[in-house]
Amino acid sequence: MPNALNLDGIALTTEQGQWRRAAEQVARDVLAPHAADVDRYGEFPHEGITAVREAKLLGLMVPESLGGPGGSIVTGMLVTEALAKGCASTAMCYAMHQSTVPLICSLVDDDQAERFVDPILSGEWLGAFAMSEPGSGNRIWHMDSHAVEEDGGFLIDSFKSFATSSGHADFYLVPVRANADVGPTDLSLFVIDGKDEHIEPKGVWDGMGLRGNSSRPVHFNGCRVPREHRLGEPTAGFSFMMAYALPIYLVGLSACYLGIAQAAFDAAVAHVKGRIHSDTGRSLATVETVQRYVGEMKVRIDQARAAVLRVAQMSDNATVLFDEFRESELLDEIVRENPDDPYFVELAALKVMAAETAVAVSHMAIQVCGGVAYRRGHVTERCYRDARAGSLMAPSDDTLKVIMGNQLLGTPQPWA
Amino acid sequence: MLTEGPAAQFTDLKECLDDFQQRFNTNERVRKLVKNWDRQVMVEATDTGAIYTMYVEDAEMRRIEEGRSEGDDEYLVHLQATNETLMEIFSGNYNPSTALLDGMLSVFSNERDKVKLEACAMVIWGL
Repeated sequence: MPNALNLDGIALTTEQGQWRRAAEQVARDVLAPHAADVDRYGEFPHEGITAVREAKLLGLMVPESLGGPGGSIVTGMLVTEALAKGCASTAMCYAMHQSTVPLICSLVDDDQAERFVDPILSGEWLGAFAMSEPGSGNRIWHMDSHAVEEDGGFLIDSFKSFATSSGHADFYLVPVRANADVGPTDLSLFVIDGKDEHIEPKGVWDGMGLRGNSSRPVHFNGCRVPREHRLGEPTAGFSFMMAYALPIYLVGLSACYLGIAQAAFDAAVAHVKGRIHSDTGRSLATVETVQRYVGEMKVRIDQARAAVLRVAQMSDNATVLFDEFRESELLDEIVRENPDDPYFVELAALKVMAAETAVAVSHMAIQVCGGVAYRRGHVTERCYRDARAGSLMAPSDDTLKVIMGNQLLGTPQPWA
Repeated sequence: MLTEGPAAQFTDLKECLDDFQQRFNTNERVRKLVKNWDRQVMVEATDTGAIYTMYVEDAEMRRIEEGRSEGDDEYLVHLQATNETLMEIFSGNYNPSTALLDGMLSVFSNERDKVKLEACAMVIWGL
């Protein structure tokens, strides 16, 4: 049923509408037709990423001050959701790339902007954010590996457990301890060229879902990184990650899982409308149980979308505040003193909610489609497996719930 | 006058603002935040009609004067709320961002100045 009235109460700007339509076109024309093969063969979505590059989506969040379109987190969320409806693997690669962009842009000097931001803006560079390490797992606020200063730069030896787009990224954003003597959150951020021969992706990514995003371990095995590839102050990486990467990271993941839920819903609705039982001569859509499931899926998706939009908007507001602290050189100390600020807890809650929604909706979508959806290759089956990654991606839902509980109860956080 | 809460220690709005001025000027982080941010912050109590203007110059709140700002509107930040709400805000008992969302406070300024005020409140009271 078409919308007779536009009562959403959410008016996008002209630019936001254009970006979303561009992403929808990429999803419809390129991502969706390749999604089944990407999933079946566990192949990196080269066609999808090429289309994303050509649509200039990689540079969406480069601020106007650096020559970019200045897309907001809300705009990024709209684009990611649209991509995820076509192919969740491509959307996740995009979301992880997007997580690097505001962080890089907040820290670059003029030379670094030319070196790192311009290729992102032109669509030449797809980024990977290599964070989690084997020692701390999904507790990504703790890094064990460290940089070693040497003539003209740094030696990086760091093993990262999961890095989306591993082996395919044009650059890696790598947080490690500033040196061997500092604490686990005294992080330096390095941009490492994807062509560095000392980057060693490990094995083959053979996940249950998100099978195309190449989330393999990667070993930066003695990468010699020029000094000018370190971003910002030596130990301020953690605070800048909290301010400029965590929001778009968690909103982006949430948008991705929202898109997965929507894709499962759309596939289920299409199926039940078209499936006619010979004994009754009526479609599955006339079955009351199916109608209830469809209604329930709609409720869950609407709740998730409202939450994602709200927290995305909140994050855009927070960015303005973080900019204020950054320009006053107060960001590092303010963030370190408030790592479980209620705003960060809102972000945590959003990711949990979106991931649980995607699992619940895709589960219901399979249920209404019946046995056909249990067969490998059905869209709802793929969505279910893709959705299942959500609660495990770092920080896992369980870790985030512990953080939320501690913040709400005033008890010590795991990093304290 | 308030009967309870941190603002209760003040007898009137002016006394509350004087205390705020002292906190403002002795906080190094605030002074970093308001570097090159010279403004007149006009506080208007909608129920009592009381109006005070705080003059921020050279990273310091120089003075508080009764009455409307005499400066250029471009550098004016105008806050409107009831007397009690203003005292709650300036004594650190009510987050100004929350007051704004609650419809208890009106702020007339450009967006950047609103963020600056929010940042100041955050570093003074950890809100």
